[in-house]
Amino acid sequence: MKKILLVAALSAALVGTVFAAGGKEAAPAGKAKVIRVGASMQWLNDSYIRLVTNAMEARAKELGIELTILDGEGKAEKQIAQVESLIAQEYDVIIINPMSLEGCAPAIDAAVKAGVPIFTLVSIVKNQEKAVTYVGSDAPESGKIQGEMIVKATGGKGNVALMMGPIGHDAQIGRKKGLMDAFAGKDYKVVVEQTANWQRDQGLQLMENWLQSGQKFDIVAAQNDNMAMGALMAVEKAGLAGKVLVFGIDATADACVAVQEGRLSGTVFQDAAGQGKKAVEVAQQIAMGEKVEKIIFIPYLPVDKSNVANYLK
Amino acid sequence: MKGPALKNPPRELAGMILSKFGIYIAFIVLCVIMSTLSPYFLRVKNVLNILNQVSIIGIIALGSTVVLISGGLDLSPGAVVAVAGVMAAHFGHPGQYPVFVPIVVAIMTGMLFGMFNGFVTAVGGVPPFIVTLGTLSIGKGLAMLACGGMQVIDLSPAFVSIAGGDLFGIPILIVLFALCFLVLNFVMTKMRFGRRAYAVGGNELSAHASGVNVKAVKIGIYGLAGALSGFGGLLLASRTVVGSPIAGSGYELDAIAAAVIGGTSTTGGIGVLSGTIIGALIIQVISNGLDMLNVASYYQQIVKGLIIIIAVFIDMRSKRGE
Repeated sequence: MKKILLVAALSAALVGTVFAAGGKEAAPAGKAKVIRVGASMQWLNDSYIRLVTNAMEARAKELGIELTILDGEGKAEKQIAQVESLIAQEYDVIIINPMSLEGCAPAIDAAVKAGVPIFTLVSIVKNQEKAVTYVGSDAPESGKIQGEMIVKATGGKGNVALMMGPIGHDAQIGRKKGLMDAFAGKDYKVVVEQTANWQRDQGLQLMENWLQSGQKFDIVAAQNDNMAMGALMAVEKAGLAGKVLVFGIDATADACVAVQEGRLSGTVFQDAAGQGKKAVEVAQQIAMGEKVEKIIFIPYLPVDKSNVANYLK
Repeated sequence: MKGPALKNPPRELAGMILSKFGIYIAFIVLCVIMSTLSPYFLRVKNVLNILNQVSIIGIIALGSTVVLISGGLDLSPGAVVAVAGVMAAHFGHPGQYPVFVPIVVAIMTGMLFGMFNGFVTAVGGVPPFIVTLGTLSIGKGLAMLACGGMQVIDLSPAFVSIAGGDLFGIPILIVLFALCFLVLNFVMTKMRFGRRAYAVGGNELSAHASGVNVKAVKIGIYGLAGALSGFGGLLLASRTVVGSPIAGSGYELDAIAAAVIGGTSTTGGIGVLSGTIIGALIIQVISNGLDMLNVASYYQQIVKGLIIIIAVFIDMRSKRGE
């Protein structure tokens, strides 16, 4: 009796599954197939990336696109696995926001091999030419804008402490390059450089240690606002506000407030919402067979006391 | 009363000194090395910096120590710090709640987490490594949920002063760390609860046989550790002026390392809180010194790992000699 019940239950489950799956596949006549887009984001616990994904979800809802967002948890190998999974689940278009320039390259290869269109968002990969496109901002551009703000504020010379993101990250490499380009021909010296991994508490601790180390600098270029805010707190606590100028990148809410209050000397606005929105639109274009540009840049914008009012929420 | 003649008096004496004071000697040697490499290392401001920076991880490490002493293991501090910090920040906006509210919220959050850990391992019988690994993951998710992925900003000056103020010129974090140590030390050495924790860690079966309520002790110890992690999370949120869902990442490893370097046994029953303080200081001195010498962070990771191994090796060898 027990066995019969078990077999009956399993059969019911099996039949039910077939029906459910069948029901999904069989679209009512006349309705277009829903475009399915899968996105592997470098990590979802970053406020900036959150702004991007919020915009992606909003736009996908408007356009009637089925969007799946996955958390790469900061690991390139996890992102590769996620892309492979999206391929296996036959998504129409794949978006990847790669954690690592080198480490995420295999994900692009996998998608290209399977014939699934894939493009990069916010950060790039080494084999970028194999991806359909890149939607995002140009990391070196943000570093250059930051550098130009520094030049404008300090008159062409100074000693710089460079606080960086995770080593090997596209933004870390790009922003440093952009900063150095802005400093070309001027009298700036990078006295110390170290990573604080985008984190506020690491930025705070690193700056506290730097301020004790005897190394002299009067400018702090932090590659994101989180680290800049941490560094700023250390500078202020040491009584050096105004003597050491701190610059960040991202134009997060509290950084903009700090710029308005004259504490943070400047930041660079990265249009997260613009990037997210554009990404979904581009995915739709690709899914419908349209040609897209090889690079779609969303511009960075400098934010200092003169224009910060535009960026305050 | 003559004991057996010492075979090699100087060697035996050195052995005894090393086993009792080994970790302190190692710390002093490390400081001497750092101060010769950088003239700024021993400056008062830097020393205060080191003590200030070690306080939060130190408080959490004290919690990890008592768990290890009781024969357990706690991998969840990193996540508890994040959840407690986010929760506290929610109650820390200007003009809303009196400042004791976020403090209590953070400690209670941590304690609940800890008691859950203790319950599942003591009553459910699941090994602590697995339970706390699970709560580490759960906690990280909860921290994200609690703030929708966006760090909590806009905190009141009172909230900021919890970790930012000072008492007669001494940074308040150092004072709080010292207080936690004194209270915990009293609990572990002078109160029955503490002695029972040592007993459970030393030999759970005989502790049970002699009437100790092992389950209650475990739940209590994990709850205590959780409360300390929660307090640490509040202090971190106050120090960084933000409730971040990714704060405290990796703290559990530093906390356990500090305890183990300080002589706490990973199998239970052995450990002193003062050793943990030295262990935490050793880790912090490495970080501070190498930052000041502009050594890249990957070298710092390698040095930290080597020091941990060497310190524990020395400690094990000296204990075996007894």
